Amino acid sequence: MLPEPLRAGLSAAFRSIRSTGKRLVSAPLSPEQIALAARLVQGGTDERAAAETTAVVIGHAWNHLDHARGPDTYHPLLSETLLASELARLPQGAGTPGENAARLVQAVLGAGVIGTAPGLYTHLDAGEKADITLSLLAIAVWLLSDRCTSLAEEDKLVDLALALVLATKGDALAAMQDEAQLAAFLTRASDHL
Amino acid sequence: MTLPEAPTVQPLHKAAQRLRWFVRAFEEQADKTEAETGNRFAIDHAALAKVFAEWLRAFEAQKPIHADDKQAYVGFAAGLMLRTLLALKPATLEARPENADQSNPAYFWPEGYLYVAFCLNVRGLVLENDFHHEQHVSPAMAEARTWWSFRENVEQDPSLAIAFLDLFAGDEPEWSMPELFRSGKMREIASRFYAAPAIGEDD
Repeated sequence: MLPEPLRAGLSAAFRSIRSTGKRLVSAPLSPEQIALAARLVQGGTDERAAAETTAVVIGHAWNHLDHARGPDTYHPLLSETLLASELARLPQGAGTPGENAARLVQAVLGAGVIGTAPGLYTHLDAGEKADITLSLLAIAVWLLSDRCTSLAEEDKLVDLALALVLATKGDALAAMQDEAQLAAFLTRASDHL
Repeated sequence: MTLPEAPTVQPLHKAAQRLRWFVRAFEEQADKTEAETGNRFAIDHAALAKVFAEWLRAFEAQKPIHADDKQAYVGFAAGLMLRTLLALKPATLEARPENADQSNPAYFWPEGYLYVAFCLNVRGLVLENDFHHEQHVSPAMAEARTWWSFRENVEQDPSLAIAFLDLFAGDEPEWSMPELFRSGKMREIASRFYAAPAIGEDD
């Protein structure tokens, strides 16, 4: 085990490299990709490429929100490969958009797609779990809401979705107890985004 | 004031219930107030989102059922917004012009002035666009004494912001329990003008 200052330094350096790498490899999204992801989240598509595209879109939004967190906070990772495989299993064509989005949020959180090491069991404290949940809820709210006319506005809308979810943090975390409550929360938040 | 347009399918009072519209409208008001006064503000967007969320909760809690109350509720909702802005303070004055006249409300209380201007403008636009009603701002809006009273009173009772906004908007304020929406207010006002004479009244 390395002494704490050295560990913190290495961890910061690793985060910096990882984040630079992300910025270099992450290509901008297209409005069509966002629209397809929105359809999948709402349960209204049977397109074959939908799961992979949605994983890319959610991954992009995740990185966008992650960069806004600042260097001294928890930076969980999201595996787009694991996410795509989880999304491909979600049923489409039944239920309301809010119900489908609620199902997706619970499936993604339950599958360990996001964490310190996605796909592996690692202990997360309550604060870290809440951070992951709130960011994922913000992305679901964003994809449930009406689309913007430009990609720059879509980026701002993701930020606003997170601000809205954080402003209603108590309601958001309480809604996680039950799928119907979660669907109602997501529907209401996206209506008012 | 120019505010963001509502989508064509949606009336303005509905668009104003969306965070994206609210943030853009507030930013545009801050830009306009800065240009007019020379004051400069920093806006905290997280606080602005919190204002919106709290306002929405208060707005929905007393939303009227009767269609007749909708117009009066626009004024009440704008007052609720002012109360929330004053409580959560999303704007901070960064600079004001040198030798600014502190008896002018815009310099006496720059943040308060920004919030009032925003709420009055949104209120006026919604009334005009969705209810074909023209808002006539009161001369009290420019009176230093009214602003001293406004600032002092809302510090003690934030809900008085609702009554003060009515006063600035040229409406009759409810100074007693202003945080409660009174259903039938429009019918009550109309009845004063259009009441039929009671039988025997002319006798």
